[in-house]
Amino acid sequence: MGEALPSRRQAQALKAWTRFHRWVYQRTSGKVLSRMRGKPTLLLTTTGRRSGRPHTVPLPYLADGDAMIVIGSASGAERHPAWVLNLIANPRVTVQYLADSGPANAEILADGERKAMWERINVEAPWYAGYQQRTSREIPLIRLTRTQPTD
Amino acid sequence: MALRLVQIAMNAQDDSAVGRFWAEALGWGVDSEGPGVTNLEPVGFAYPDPTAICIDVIAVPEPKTVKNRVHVDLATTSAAHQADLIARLQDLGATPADVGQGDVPWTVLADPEGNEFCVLEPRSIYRDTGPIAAVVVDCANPRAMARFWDQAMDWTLHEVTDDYAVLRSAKGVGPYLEFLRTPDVKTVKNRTHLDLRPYPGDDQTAEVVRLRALGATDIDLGQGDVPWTCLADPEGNEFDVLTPR
Repeated sequence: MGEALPSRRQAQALKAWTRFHRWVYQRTSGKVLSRMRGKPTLLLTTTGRRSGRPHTVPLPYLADGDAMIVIGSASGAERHPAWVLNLIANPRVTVQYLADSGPANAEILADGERKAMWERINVEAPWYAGYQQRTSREIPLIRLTRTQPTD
Repeated sequence: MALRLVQIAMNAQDDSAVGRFWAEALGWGVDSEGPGVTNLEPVGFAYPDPTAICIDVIAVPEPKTVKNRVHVDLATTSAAHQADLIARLQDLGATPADVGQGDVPWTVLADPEGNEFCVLEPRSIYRDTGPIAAVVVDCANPRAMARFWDQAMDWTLHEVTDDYAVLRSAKGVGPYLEFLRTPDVKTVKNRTHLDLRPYPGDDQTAEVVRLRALGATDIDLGQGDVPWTCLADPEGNEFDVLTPR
């Protein structure tokens, strides 16, 4: 347990930005702020691992066939972000991309699958390698697979 | 089939600040499962476990308006410990509170958002509870509350009088749950409520049906479609039945 980021001020600034980003995304159905650092962005809703409350975060993703890959980097913090801990406890999540929202299953990539995806990330989003250098934990890569066909 | 008390949920306008206060006060670890929720539990705790009643601090927009009907009592082991703890809590931002307690051996304080709590003088009954001696619920009729809560949970009813009722976990460990007769009536939604859980493999819906038969009523706090069920006990105290774990 402890602070997830180097300083409380940074953590608060990140929280405020996340709140603002989520608010804009939800109100514009992703027409505004649907990209982060050039990557398409989704809203991931996990179930709070203790209270059961839903928590929604905006995350950039990489397409992987019909699935989407999100990265639990927390900018290289020593600890997994809260949403990763939540989906480890309960992999049934909700994913919204633009106006389209629905249930999905979250699965942490392991072994060869992770290695191959990490190599792809190094090419397409090379700043994550810098985040990995800041932390001793292995940054988890999560595949989100929709569990119902979309409209 | 049974339920047990696993945590209390405290509302706060600033869940991080109130969470930090209580983590320091109890010597517990602080975590956040997501924005607006700060989770507290003992360091190295295997949640859930009857040795502790955990605390979730939940952000709400509305401020506290009246004296809380649910509060915690903190345990101390000596007069010096009590004095030290009171001083330390005041350094952390607690303030003295007057709830009409008069001249009593315990000290009433309020956390940074005004939530009242007590720092008890040493009492042998609370020597092995952990930092929280008891979660105390104001009520009009302790005997009726004891009847409901004794059947609602697998906790053991230790004592019941016209003035108070005392329960503790079935394992005989951790804090007590107490119902204390008070003259004041409930006027607003409680700012702190009890969270109960079925055991793994038990049926949450069946437990809710059972509680309704015991006299619990459904309440709508605007919670919408959520994985927990909001109920009220026979005196209207809100509580939640969470998913099994």
